[in-house]
Amino acid sequence: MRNPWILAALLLLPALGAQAQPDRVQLIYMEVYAHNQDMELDPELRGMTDALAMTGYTGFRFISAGKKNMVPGDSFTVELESGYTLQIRLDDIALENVGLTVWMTRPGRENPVKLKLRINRNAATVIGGNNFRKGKLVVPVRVRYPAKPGDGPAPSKPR
Amino acid sequence: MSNTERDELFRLVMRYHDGELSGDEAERARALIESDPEAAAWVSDMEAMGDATFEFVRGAVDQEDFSEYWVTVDEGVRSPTPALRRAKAAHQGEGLWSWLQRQFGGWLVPAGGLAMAGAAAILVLAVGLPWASRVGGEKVTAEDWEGIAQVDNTVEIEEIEGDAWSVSILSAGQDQPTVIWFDDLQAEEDQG
Repeated sequence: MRNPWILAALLLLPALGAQAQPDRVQLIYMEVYAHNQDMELDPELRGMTDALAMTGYTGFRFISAGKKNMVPGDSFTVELESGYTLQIRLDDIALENVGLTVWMTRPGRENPVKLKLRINRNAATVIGGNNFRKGKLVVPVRVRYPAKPGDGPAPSKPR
Repeated sequence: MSNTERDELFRLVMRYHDGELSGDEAERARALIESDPEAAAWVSDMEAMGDATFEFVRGAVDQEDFSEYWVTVDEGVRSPTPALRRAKAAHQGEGLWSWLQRQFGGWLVPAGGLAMAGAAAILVLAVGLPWASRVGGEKVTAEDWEGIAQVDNTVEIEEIEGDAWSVSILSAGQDQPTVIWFDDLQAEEDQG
């Protein structure tokens, strides 16, 4: 190769790619009772109004929340208030999205629903459907990438 | 001001917004909204949520035939949940509660109340406030959910498996989270 700079750039490209792709991400979830009884909004859900409005319900009561740093192959399980079990496994991490497998299992049954999906960097989705009291249980889930390789999750924007 | 005090003020403003306050409480909430930018922001959030809900439902209904879905939701609301069935069974005199009532009579309710208060206090001491995490032990804060509207929330579905389940995907644009509804058709059939 005539130009040594081109050779150097080609050699560096894989290393740059590896730096930009983290080896772990953080999964955050929240369990929420959604209903149409009133316009209830628990203080813990203040930052979630737009996401929760997507469910079409008007009232939202906080139940629980959690987060976990995960590498591919890790999973976590949440026993929902409805008795159903929600399991989420991190399948792979790509530069701009992650692969997840989600299972929802009804108590006493062995045939869960299984969903494989890809969710973008720092994006959120809302999983729901269990009948609960006079509404539904909904579970917003977010995938947060580290700000830099080796760092913690991306910092939030200043208030 | 502590988080607890802020939460109390938030509840006050929310009740004012819902028209539940009158007299001094309403005046206090009104003054707070006028003087505190954060309180004013809470009201804006609540109004935005109401508007967003209305717009989302209207937009979704315009685009899709949700008649079957809403019938399912309606049936789900009217069907007794397992918790309601358990409550009904207890009310009809089945199980431990009725045995305890027979044994201890009028002392049972106050004793049970004290026991539950003690259990609740132990629970709070053991696991922290309800805001605590069930997974990984780390607490989740409102900051963990900030900036969602600034990223592409499009979800790509690769595979769906499950007998007797219905999966619906609702999206109103990449700036809002996609909603994935899992409907357990077998459970609905059992309840019906």
